Amino acid sequence: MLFTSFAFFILLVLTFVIYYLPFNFFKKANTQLLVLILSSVIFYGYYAPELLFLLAFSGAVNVLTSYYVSFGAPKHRMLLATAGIVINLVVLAFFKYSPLIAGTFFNTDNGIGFFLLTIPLPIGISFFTFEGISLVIDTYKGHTDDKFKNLVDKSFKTHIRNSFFFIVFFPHLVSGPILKAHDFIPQISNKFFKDIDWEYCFKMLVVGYFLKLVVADNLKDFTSSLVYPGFMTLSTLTLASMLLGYSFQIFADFAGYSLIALGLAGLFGYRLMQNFNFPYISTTFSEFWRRWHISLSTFLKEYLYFPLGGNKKGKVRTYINLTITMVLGGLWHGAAWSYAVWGAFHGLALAIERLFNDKFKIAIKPNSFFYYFKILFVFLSVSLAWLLFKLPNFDQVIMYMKALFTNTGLVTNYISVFLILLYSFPVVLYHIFYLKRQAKPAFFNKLEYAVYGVMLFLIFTNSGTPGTFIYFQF
Amino acid sequence: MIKKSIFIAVILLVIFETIIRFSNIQWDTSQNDKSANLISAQNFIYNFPAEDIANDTVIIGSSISRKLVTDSLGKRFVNLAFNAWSSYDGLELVKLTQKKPACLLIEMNVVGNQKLQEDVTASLSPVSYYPNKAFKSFQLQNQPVGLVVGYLKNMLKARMEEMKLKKRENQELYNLNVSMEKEKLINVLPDSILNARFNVLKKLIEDFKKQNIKIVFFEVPFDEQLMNTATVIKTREYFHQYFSNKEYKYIDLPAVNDFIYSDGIHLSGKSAIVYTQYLKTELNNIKNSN
Repeated sequence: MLFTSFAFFILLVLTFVIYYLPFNFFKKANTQLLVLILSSVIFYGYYAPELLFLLAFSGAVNVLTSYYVSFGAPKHRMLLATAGIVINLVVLAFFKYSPLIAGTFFNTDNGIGFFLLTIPLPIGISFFTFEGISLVIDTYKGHTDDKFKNLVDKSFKTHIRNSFFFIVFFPHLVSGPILKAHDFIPQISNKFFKDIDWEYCFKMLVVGYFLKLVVADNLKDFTSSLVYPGFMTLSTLTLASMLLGYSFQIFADFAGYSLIALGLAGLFGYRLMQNFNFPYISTTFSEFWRRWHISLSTFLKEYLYFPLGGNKKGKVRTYINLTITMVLGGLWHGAAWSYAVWGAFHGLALAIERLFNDKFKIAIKPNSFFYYFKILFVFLSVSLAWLLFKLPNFDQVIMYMKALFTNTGLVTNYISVFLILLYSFPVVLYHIFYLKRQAKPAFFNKLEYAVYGVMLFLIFTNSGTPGTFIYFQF
Repeated sequence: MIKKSIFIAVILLVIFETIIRFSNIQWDTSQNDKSANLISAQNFIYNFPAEDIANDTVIIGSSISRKLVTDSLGKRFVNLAFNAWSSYDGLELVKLTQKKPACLLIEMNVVGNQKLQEDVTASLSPVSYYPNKAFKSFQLQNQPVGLVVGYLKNMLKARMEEMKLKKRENQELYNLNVSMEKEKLINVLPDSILNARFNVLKKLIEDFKKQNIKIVFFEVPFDEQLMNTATVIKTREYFHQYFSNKEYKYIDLPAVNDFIYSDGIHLSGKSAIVYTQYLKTELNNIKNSN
């Protein structure tokens, strides 16, 4: 179900009303979680109910593993946790990477290659699988680290309810933010209508829907020409503006989704982690990854980069670990080698940046020319790399780059270029407001309601044609 | 803060709706091909009363027919040809809205997928239908950014025509377009798929015929290099096979070399006017022959 669909709106209203009905709070009859689980199941299975079996299987594996890691025989804990993680990864690999494996190693016209190619990609599998892994690992860590203690309830029934709710809670189920068990499970408790932070929810929902409907959905109808062979006949200026437009679109689409998720969770009394923190003002690649898809980057850091040794095993190993983490992070996004190349690009950028910082310690003053130059450099590099997302065939990426430099003589459709820039502008403003607000908070606070009013107006009058969320494919 | 924001939004909405209702803006406010399609579809759904359509001719087709200069045909013509979609979408839209025209002028060049575009379905759903019909400011053609675009297009009309001409004069680009189209048109769809598509079309068109709607087929010329490709030839054959010349009227294809094409497949400005006039004459001939 899409957050932008009418069916979802109906489900949300019904869930919200039932969730806060007084009978939910009678002793021994706390049904709030069950209401949310049920509506999450409807949300996920609305278009393809058969996918619920996979969700149930994944949930069952993680519920059982985490319970027995907590309360099973201590000598089997390590083995159980490893088995749980392996099962999660095998399921993910089977559904997500079969086409890639088929295309790389088999003849896809018939036999096993053809079979692997036809396996459908269940929506949200990358997200709920990672959350399941987080549950297993956090539970395992609970024996040695207080931060991860008491995630698993002694009552198996309560544990099933809590864990399943953690995995399926609809605001984050299909596109994140990727929750970590130790952040979310401690929040599970009775929630009351009077405790809703309306202003927080309103702000998240308005900005989220504005970014998605007004910015991303409008930009998508311009960047849709960014496909082979269509782009071969477009001028340099058009190609450059489309690439920038796609960069703003992917931000607006994904950050918009995440903000809506935060607002929706807030309506039910839960706080999800912030997933985007104005990433396009980053002056370094490492800063970019602290601001972009934060739930994934922190997941990769905690559950992959640190276990690989992080920066504790010497400089060379640090660079290698960064690259490995980012290549796997790239592959998490999609089953095509271009995603691995995209990850490698970011991994190498992080490694080179670290190497540079290790050698030369240059302090850059905020608001200086070089400070803004670095913002522009990181933004343009990141935007260029998005091409690997849009054109999963690497040859086409090369052709695009070639066309970018050779199509200078072709006629430009200036109206389209103007519109791409116009629809990208709110994202630029969004970042500028953030920077300037820190200097003059009172001025911006005064203006705030008018800005939200205008955004609401534009949601109703200037939304683009409906489109799905880009990250659904991951 | 929430109340103030909602208040601002409502005030803006009221002002905007008032401006839209009291101004008679005739600009082309489409922002891209898709929005142009949807504006046409929404206009047909929300703004054309069924009784007004009863004497009209509705042109159905793809982007190829969208280039026709419908204004030059007079008031009784409605163009429901869509960029990147096919005749099926227009026919289905006419059927679903139950607005019966006098004549359906159906393009034969493209026979696409037979699944009505989701955006059109969404415009027809009650959730969109009633608010969009009640508030003009919710309709795609009245988007604030669209109005800015319409103003710009109007202001830069001459410059845009000049650019189109310049684009057409780039022979290298033209050849590239033609070769790309040729690559697509060389491979014919399997008969099983074509039969399935034509069966759906046949059912739709026969239903219209039963309602006494006149059906006329026409084919827009392409560049000569594309005219003889397997897909074009086969599609034409299928039309004649499924809709016999005895029962249905066809407008003959004029000499393709008499026209200029912007990219090999779409008629350029002046040729679009010439071909539109040709269509009008042929339609009149058909009417007179009855």
